[in-house]
Amino acid sequence: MSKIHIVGNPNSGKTTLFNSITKSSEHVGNWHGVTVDKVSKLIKFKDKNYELIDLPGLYSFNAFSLEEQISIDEINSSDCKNILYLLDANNFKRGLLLALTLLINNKNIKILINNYKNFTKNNAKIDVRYLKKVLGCEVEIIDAQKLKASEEFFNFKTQTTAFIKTLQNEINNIKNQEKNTNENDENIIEYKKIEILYKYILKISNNCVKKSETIYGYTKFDKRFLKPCIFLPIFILLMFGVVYFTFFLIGPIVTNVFLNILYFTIQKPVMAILNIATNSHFVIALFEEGVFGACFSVLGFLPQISLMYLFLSLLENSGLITRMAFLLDDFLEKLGLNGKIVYTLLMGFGCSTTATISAKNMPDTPSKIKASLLAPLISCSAKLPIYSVVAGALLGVSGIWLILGLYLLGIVMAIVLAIIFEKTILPTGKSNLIIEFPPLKLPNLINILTSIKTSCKQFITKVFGVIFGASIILWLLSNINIKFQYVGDTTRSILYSFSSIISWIFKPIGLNNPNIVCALLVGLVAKELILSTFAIINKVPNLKILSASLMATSSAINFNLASGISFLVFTLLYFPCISNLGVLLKEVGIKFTIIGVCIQLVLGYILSYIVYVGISKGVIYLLLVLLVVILICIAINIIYKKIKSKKIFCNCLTCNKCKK
Amino acid sequence: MTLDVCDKNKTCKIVSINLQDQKLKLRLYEIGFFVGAYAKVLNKSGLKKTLLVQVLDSCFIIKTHIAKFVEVEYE
Repeated sequence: MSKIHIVGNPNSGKTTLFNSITKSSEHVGNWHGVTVDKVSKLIKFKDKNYELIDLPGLYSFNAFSLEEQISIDEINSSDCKNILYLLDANNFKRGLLLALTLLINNKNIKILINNYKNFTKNNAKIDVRYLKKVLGCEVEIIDAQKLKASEEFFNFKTQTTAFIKTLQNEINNIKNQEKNTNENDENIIEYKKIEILYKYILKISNNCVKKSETIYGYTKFDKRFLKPCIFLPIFILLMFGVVYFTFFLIGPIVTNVFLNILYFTIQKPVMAILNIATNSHFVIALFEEGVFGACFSVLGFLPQISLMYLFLSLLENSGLITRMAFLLDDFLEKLGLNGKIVYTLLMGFGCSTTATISAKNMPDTPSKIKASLLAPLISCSAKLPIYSVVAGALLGVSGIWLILGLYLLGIVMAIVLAIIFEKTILPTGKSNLIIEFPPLKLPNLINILTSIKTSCKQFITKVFGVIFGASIILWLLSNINIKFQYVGDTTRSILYSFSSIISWIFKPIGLNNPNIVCALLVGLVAKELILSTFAIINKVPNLKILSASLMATSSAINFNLASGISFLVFTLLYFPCISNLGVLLKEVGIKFTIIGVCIQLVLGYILSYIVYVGISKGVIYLLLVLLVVILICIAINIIYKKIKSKKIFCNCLTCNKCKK
Repeated sequence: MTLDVCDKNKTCKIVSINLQDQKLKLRLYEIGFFVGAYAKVLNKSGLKKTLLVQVLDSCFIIKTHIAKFVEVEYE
């Protein structure tokens, strides 16, 4: 089996090519750093098997960030024998640097010139035959989105031409010259090597590229609107519009239609058959509450989650994220963050697990850890159904302001935590942001639809997998007692008994109802299960009744304004879901995962307490509580500074300045 | 003069890069900020701490405190 690696600069179309050849739907976007890990897939042409490997983008063999190191390690491994090199026609000179580096290192490569159609818009042209002759490798113009590969596509052989030999000799001469000096600085060798390579690249470019003077990436829109006072307010209004559109305008209408379809096509016929087939209240209740009530309450939000992913996908594919990074980096630097975190946090609106994975594109480990720990604070799509139902129950149409407040609170808490990390355990200092500025473009419809399809598929798989299984177990635990007898009464169930033991912990924040505690515990597995728990415990067969049941005092789970808002704040912050926890452990290690989780729990509890007390006991009590919290924070800060100055917990191995 | 104080939309030639951070300097070289290359500042952020610079065929966002170490002269 042959291994073929796809290599190229960031945002050159590698993953698009990978998806075209393998018929996959790996994540793509108009942003430097979408692919952060290697992805491989087996493909077969006639009798021959190939393993196609997509790698994160890089500029050279010197890693500047963590995902680039993955690519370098892979290219330098003995497995890497055949390379499909993606060269963006609009970034010809820069792209040729890595191609020449690979050729000098005797790699077998085939250069694929992508985005050629866009390049030729202003009468620009590349002489492919000249390139083939000079470089000694196959060069082909492709459209990565529409490529149909064949066996011949993967058969290529590079020959070392006189030009490549000249380059190799010049670079060896530099190395020899440096060896003879006293310093033998490897960095100086690298600088001179790059200067030589670019000298030849400029010559090649003059001979084979006919190009117009337009600047690639910087458009008329950028000239006019790329200013904080114009772009940022427009963006904020856009975010508000999306939330309003998703939660209160189109979202509920589409959800309603979708729920009716689910009810009339699946739930009603199945329940009718069950009512005929059996008299067992146990079976009927299991299906009505445990299956349909629990699963469809979550599934009903599929249209709204799709709308959210549509917006995120538009943002990702248009190039707006880089513009946001440019405008916000000055502010983010003060928080000890890097502009690249904009992408991570925006991904957090979709899924915090994906956001944590994307933190690999940070330039160094402290920035990556910070980004990974901040991502769970952002309101992800799993929390969307909970906000929608509870905020709608509490405040009706005005609930949009509560939902917006929750989104904002997540962002504010991320900022607060970033400052705490910067001042304490994860200082990073100045931001060394260097990102390529991609052009603004109309998002490709196929990419958008593929992205939404993938997200919906993952959501549906989750509903019919984890949520379905967990809902059955939840229903059983909330309807059978400790003697495993069906009681049909949640207050006598195993779940209630267990939740009652620890419910006192939640009394200060108004959530000491054991059924609510149970929902929060179940939410550790997946946040969507909180809604399923509500449906099961309140014994509602569908989503439409669920919202109203949460305000009815006769329901097992019911809220008033104070406890409802406290619940929402606690759900926003208290704990990442199991899949996010797994990724955190892998990416940042156990120490920082524990730190992050503890901070989230404490923040969630304190804020819920403040909210609950403020609404239920009045402003004066709230001000007293805030004063106490501020004094505690000041005391912690003073103690921390004293500990730091005495260097009692110094981490260095040998330090003569430590007293211990 | 240095790149951070260049006028917008005026092409300048890179004379030297005096960064102590070798990793950063190498990255600048790789993306086209090498001695003899041409660069043009296209835009600056609100607080003027981030620059949008054209180099080779396309544009890069770089911080002003990095651009301070790139010595240039107008063409």
